[in-house]
Amino acid sequence: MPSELTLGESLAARGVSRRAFLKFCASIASAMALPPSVAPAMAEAMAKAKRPSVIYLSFQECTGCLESLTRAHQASLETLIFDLVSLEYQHTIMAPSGEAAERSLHQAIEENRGKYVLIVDGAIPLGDPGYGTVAGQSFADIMTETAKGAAAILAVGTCASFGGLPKADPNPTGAVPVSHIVKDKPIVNIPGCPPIAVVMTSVVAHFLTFGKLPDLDHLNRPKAFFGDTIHDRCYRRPFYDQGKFAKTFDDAGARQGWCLYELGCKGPVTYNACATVKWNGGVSFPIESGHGCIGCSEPDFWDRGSFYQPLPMSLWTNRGKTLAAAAAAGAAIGAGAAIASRMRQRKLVEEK
Amino acid sequence: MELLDFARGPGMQWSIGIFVAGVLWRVLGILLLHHRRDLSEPRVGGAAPLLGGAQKVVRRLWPRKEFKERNLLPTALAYIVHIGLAIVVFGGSFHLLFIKNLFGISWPALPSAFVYFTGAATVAAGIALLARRIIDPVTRLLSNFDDYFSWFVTLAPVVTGLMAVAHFGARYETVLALHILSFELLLVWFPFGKLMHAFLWVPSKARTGYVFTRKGATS
Amino acid sequence: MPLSEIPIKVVPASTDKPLNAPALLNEIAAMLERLVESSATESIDLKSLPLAPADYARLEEILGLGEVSAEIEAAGPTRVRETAVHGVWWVTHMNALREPTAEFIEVTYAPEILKTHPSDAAAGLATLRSRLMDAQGDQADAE
Repeated sequence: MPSELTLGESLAARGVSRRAFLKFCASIASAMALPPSVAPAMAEAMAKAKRPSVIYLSFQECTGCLESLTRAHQASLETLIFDLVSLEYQHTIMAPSGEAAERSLHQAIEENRGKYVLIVDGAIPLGDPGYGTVAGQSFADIMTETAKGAAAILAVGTCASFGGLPKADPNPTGAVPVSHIVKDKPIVNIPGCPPIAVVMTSVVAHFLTFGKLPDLDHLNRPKAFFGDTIHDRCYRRPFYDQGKFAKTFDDAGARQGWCLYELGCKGPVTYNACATVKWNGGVSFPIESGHGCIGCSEPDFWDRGSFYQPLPMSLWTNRGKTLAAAAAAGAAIGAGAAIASRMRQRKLVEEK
Repeated sequence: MELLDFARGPGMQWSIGIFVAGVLWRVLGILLLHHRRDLSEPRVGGAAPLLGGAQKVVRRLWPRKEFKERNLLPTALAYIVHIGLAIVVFGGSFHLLFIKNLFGISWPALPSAFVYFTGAATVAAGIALLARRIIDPVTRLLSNFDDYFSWFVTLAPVVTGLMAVAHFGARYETVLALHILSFELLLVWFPFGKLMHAFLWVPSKARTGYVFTRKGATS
Repeated sequence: MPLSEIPIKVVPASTDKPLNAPALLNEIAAMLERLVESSATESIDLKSLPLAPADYARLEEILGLGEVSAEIEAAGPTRVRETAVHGVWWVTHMNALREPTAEFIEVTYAPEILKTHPSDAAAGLATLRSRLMDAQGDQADAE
């Protein structure tokens, strides 16, 4: 049910002070690379707004995206997002269940038609409607129906953004991303396996403050977080530039924090904010902890060869067969040409 | 990213296949040709056939003093290109990773800055050679599509490689894809043009040397 | 060797000399000039700039510490300090585990987060009035 209190009033009722909210806006503005002077204006605008309704649909997912968001950190500012919105429906954390839960979904859709924000995680299987259902309705139908009344759609996680793990070869369920099904609504893709919590909350905060989605790149990802590659902002970049690479996971180079390119790091071709915003409240990110980037915010990253083979590796298989076939074909044509030449020469000699 | 996936996947598969098939076709097609046996008496004092062939291969690596004045600079520039390519391809750490993935063998890499400088020198020498080819009226008259296109497919990977390492020009995955695709273009063109000299120069010079052990010029 | 004993040495780029602090300090001076001339307030997000430890040290050295130090407790502590340069404030936001989440240098008469918002003051008035009425009621009951 939508709240009649403004966002500021609801926060105050929950014991979240204006100063705490101002801190939240300052952190979000900093994360989105907005000028810091925006923070008080953001706080003013959001405090006066009505709490928007948010419907959160979960499909073929592992719940990692929701975990990233809710377990973001003990008492972290990111969990404030749940105080800023009126979360009408979410499988894992909502109180009602069964028929009551489904009733609250349909009620939320009707009462807020055209105005609610729809957050989706997980891919949608098209192979057979029975592969994923809630209360007898297929995921695809739920997606299509709920999208109709949404103001904007946030596809959270690589599964919802690009298909993710369910879509990986051989894709037995016919999994597709949200953008494959919904064509007529603004969609923001927030990929990552899982995405960084503050990225998700910042997009919602941006939408609440400015009434529109942030600038998106060609894959509909917010440029504020997906504009640079991991490689561009990695603190180990000086080692890459100097050619100092770790060769195994525990050699002298690895212990000195050298670049992990040769151990399969896909940082140069992966766009995400891991190297700047980092994880778990800024504690670390995979490379800082000694493991190369696996490229989890890029489409089809599961099917791009081993995580431990470096970027120059080739992706084609059946190498022995290919080379043998090519060699056989070349030898046959070459020998054939030589034999044809010899036969012609012999004919010429005999004709003389 | 789709361009990069294509370049590393089916693009690489097809281009290597065409390269292997084409090189074998050309080499076998030439080496298996019928050579009429020379039934005349060989000259007196000629070197042994094999030695003569080997000597010719080595001697032709540098111009004779009669031709030095005209040929010294182009020869030196060409050596810079060839040796530079060898250093970059077989000494650059990223290429060694590619080779290791394909053939399972590897060796230590050369320092990155040295490899980068060599690549730049290779491009500079290549441009100088092209300039000479166009400015000199004789070479300009003799040059055909094969000459110019072979020059292009040889230098394009070096230029795009330098751009990729410097993260210059476009998004990294695009420049990397262009680098790999330019190498695949080189592979595909290789068997059909003058780049085949890589495999044919030794048999060709050896045959000339063998013939000269029996008759003709004495060195 | 157990996990905890594996030595990890990260050798970052040279951090002996401040790289960006001098330029930043000049920018702060320009902002302070604008504050003096036209009361225009501005902030700098320190996390958005590439600052080495030497840069922070230089900033602290030049700006120094002033008379005012305030600690705000709102969803974690926030430290507000005026530097020895009047008008230049250093604000550090932290979460409940005292980890820094944002850091600003604010050139202003008083940082926004220190001030009381007008609607909060109105709410405060209502709170105080109700507490006074309760206190009067208790006193009346006691008598």
